[in-house]
Amino acid sequence: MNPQWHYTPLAIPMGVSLLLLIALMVLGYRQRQNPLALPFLFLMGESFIWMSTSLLEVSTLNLSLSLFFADASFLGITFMSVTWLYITIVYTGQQQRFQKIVPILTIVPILTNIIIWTNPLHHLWRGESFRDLTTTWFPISIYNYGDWFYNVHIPFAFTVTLLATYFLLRSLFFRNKVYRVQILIMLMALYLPLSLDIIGRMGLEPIPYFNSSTLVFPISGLLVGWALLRFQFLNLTPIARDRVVENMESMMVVLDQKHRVVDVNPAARQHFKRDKKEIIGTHIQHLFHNKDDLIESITNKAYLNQEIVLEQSGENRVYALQVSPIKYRSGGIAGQLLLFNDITTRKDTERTLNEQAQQVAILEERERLARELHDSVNQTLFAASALADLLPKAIDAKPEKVQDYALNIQQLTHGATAQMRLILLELYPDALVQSELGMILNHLCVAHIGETGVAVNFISNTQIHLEQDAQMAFYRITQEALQNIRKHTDATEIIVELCQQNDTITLQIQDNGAGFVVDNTLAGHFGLKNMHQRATSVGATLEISSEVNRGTCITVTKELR
Amino acid sequence: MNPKKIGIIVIDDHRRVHQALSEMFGFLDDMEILAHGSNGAEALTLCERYQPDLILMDVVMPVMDGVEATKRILAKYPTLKILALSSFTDPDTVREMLTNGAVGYLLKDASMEHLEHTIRTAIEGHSVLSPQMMQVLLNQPKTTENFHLSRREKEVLPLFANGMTNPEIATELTISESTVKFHITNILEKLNVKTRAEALVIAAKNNLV
Repeated sequence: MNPQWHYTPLAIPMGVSLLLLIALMVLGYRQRQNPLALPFLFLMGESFIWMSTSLLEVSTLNLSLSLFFADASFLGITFMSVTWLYITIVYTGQQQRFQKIVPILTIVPILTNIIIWTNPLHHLWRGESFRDLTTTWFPISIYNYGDWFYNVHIPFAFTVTLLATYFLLRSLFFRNKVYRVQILIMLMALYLPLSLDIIGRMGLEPIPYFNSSTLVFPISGLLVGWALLRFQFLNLTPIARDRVVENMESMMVVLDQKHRVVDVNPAARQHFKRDKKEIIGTHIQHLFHNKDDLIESITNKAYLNQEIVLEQSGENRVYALQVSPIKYRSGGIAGQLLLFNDITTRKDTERTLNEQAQQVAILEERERLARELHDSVNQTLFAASALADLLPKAIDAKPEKVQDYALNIQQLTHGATAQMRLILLELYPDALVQSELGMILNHLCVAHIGETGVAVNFISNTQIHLEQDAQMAFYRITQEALQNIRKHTDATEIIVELCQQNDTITLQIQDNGAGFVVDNTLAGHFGLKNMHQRATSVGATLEISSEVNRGTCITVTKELR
Repeated sequence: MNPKKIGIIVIDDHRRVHQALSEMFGFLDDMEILAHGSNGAEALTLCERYQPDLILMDVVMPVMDGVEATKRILAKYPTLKILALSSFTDPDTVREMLTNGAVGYLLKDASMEHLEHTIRTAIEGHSVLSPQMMQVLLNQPKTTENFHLSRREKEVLPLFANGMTNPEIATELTISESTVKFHITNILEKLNVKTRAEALVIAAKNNLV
């Protein structure tokens, strides 16, 4: 069969339209995450089939080929109304309720196509056709449509289109202003080809014998695509916005410039226990009782972020209130957005956590105290009571030991008392810095005797009270020095001397233990370094002199000024 | 002829405790302190060198604590007796020591007589928990397994929990000593434990004593 291809000037606008459709399909594909993108792609695809087959139809002189293309174009056309309906259903957020009717509706276009391709059997679609190559400047096929076309296809397409129009119009009245323009554009896109089609069917076609709606369809696509981009509703469809606002648990109140309520969401309505009608138009001050400060803040400040307490069914609840201005594109203030977030649970949790943290701190302190008691006092007392237990036996069996035991029991019990005092002082650092320094150091010495049995002589010539930090430093240095002696030396005698001469306080800790080579040890020994730092941090100097096998002497000097 | 003395090693990180215990053992003819150590790691070395009969083991110590030391020593010397001597009374520590094989747990407020008695009982193969320690164990969360103990075994268990020796139990229940032994072996088997102290922990936990 010879296709007899033939150029007609119509091919140019149609070709351009085809390219446009391809571009729109790419646009739709890029936004494919959006629920509207898929039906939009379908619509553009259907247009593409219609457009391309129409182009082929007018570009051939061969009658049967031309008819074939005309039939093929209905593969696109017949589904378009249903696709439009689906787009409006998704756009207006009626998916839940109406999604199911769409597959049912597609039965009709499918049947129509079957009828078209089986036309020679029943002629329900069209009657005799012939070729006219002279009436117009492009070749046309002339035929009459049959019963199916007039009684099924056309009524069906118009009914479905009307349904789509109904959905769009309905949302036109229930939606925010911003979306009205968008909906109008959608309506325009829907009716532009439709009206041309109606005009054509009434015999008033601008181009005789040619369905001009084919040509304007890309314009519809362009309009829809523009609406999508311009208002970015492929990013946030109105339904998404509405659903968020309507369903969110936070209360939302929108005020106009005069602080009157223009919008409230269900959460807010429920809180104020009033109908939307009652609330809209009232001044914000009528919504809150005894909250003059709050009203003042809201009405005077553009931005506000604060916690407020509101009564809700008899109990106080904490809300995080966020106030922000709503601005026109030009920058002027249109009103205010108030968001109330119920944070009562979070607050309660925070409080509980705080209380728990305190409890834990108390428990840890208790644990530390218990551990310390076990580790020091308890051991000393165990030794004391053990020796006390042995005393009666010793009187008979080892009289020479009695005095030794008695002395040791004395040391141990005094030591235990001193250890106890020190634990208490550590528990209350205030007491530690307020007590007389000599007394505290004496406790350290007596405790040391109790723990080790090593003789510690404490000498002090006067009562000394240093400033908080200095007092603490002297205490810690002595403590660490004694600890070092116990751990690292075998000293049998220790002298701790604290004296004041004019404005100079001197603390000296001296032992007769193993000693060490000062230079080698000082650099790396953390304990000694630590003592040095303590001294310098309170303006004192610390000197260490030591001789191997002769002992060590630590001298801390502080000038009082 | 002098029978062999009971050799004891004292592991404790407090010098004064060593001193006092040395004095105490100075009054006893049949026991002697072989060595002192101040942590679990030293205990291991000293054990090897002195082969003691019993270790008095502190629990909370630097370097290696008593629980770990007990576990390691008993793995090597299963017949050695380890007696915990500690000032800590928290149930976890007590249970850990006993389940790791310590024959008993003494608090550092025990009298010297009590300590001496406990050492002797331990050497004889019995286990004595002081009433305080029993209380600690009884106060822990309970489970209710009964281990299918027989009526007799249920009678024997509380008695040996109270520190009675086999002959004492035999007299109390008017049965022979070997029967008592038989019952106790069965109890240990049913509770799936090795030492009597361990049996006491499990028994206390399950309200069987």
